[in-house]
Amino acid sequence: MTLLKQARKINRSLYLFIFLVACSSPGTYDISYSWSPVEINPDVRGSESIEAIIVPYRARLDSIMDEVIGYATHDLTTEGQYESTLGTFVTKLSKEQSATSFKKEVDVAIMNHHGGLRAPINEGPITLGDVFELMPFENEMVLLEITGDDLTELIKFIGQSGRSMIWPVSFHVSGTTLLNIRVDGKEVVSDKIYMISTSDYLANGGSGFSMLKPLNRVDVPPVKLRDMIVQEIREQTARGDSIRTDIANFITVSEP
Amino acid sequence: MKRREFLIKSMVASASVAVSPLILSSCQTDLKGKKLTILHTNDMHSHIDPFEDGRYKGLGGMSARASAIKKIRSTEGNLLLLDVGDVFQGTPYFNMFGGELELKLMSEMQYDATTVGNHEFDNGLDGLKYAMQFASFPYLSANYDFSKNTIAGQVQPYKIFNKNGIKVGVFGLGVKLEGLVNAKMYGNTVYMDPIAVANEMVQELTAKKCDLIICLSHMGYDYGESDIPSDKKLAKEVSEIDIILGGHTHTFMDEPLLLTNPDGFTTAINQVGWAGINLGRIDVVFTSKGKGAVAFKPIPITNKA
Repeated sequence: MTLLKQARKINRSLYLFIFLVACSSPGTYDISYSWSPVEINPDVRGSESIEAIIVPYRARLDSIMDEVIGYATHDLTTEGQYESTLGTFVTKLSKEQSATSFKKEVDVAIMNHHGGLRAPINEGPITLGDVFELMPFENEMVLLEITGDDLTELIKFIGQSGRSMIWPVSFHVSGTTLLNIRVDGKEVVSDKIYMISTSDYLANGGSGFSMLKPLNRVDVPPVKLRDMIVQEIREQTARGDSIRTDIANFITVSEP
Repeated sequence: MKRREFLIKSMVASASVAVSPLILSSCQTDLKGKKLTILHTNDMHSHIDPFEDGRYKGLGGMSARASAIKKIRSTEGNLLLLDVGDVFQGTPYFNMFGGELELKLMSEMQYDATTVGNHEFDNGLDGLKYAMQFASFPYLSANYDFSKNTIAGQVQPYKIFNKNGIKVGVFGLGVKLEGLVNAKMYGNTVYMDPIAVANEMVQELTAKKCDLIICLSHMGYDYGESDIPSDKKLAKEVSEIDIILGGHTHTFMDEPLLLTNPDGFTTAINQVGWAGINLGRIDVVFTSKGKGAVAFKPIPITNKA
């Protein structure tokens, strides 16, 4: 490689363009860059050849996704730092569905909250497509065993990072300190083994949850989190119930 | 016609002079006046149709994108259409059809290359292999070693495009898979240090006399002070990459970042959010031979689709 020297100069012109200009020695070239993104908006008319490819797929998809599987009496969203209606709905059902699907009692459910639950459930009919939007990922349910001491550390991490939804756990956040940690209303017993239900994403250390990686995984058949959500909605509907979830306000925050 | 414009607001002229090794191949052919238009997308996440509601309502959609590309092709003959991965996952189209439709449509739009994003593994290696049969363009990834698994031979580290005499070397880089992707989905795919691999790529592409080097990086734009490889870290540590087209962090950039590293090389980094809301466009022009003077030729911004 010949190491001739080439000088490059960055310039923003008065014409609202961005350039990268290389002023070069003989035998080289100047390069100028300009940048002009195109927003793809409704003013851009669609392509007929592309539409023709999409149409049969869309028709097949719609026939599956438009199925109404339940009704929500109010909007379920991820609004709220530690607890939300949607976060509570999903963590609660992960705990309860694990009991039926895996025949295991779960003490604590943890879900990737604001980043993981990708769309709200809006008041009114809930379609299968709505659940796909809420949970587009192919995440599977995982059960983990954790000691009381490690569970306390995990709860502290969640309390300090505000990174996920945990259920049914209560605590008080005072600055960076967590007080009055309770699991289902009871104090954590340090040498007791607790069962956690979560997604494989978090269990593999995603979103900063590296402390979950070394935990013992209980051998359970593969069940997708999305299928669990669909199952819960179908079951509640079959019982004649509508979907509604209140925020428990298990977690309180004050200035230190 | 209402159109949001992505004009660069800053009027401040700034200049910094930097010295970098010459891309020596420029001596080979007369590139003067030659232009290359680069169109790019990242993290389209199976958004076949425009958003139906929410903050991006009406935006995106592959049919409209195809029209926009066709329009640009009609005036710009010398064009590369590139994607930076995570084509998969995000709408039921992926859950139902496994990426088949996304890749058929990208083929119809005549994409030139994509790279392997973390979500390309969402249906496992077998799922990726199945979908790849619908892609008429190559997957470029230099730091994932697939040689021991089912898609061996179907992903290449780089490709050199000869675009009207301009030799353009394009290579791909991916994000660390461990902790991000379910291990059983990526199987025995081996992740290699992207910075070391990028150095090898630059050497190889320079030796092969590329006039322009582009990296398709699905590593993410910037992770601050951490050691996690990012586009900014790549530009800082590896010289000779002219353009990094980014992805993974869904970053909407007001303008490309021009980063001059300690060795004096300047790299342009750009990323266009996600879901096909924007089509990125960078025009590169090789202008007159420099004789100590700064020479450049402005290209008007045209965001009329």
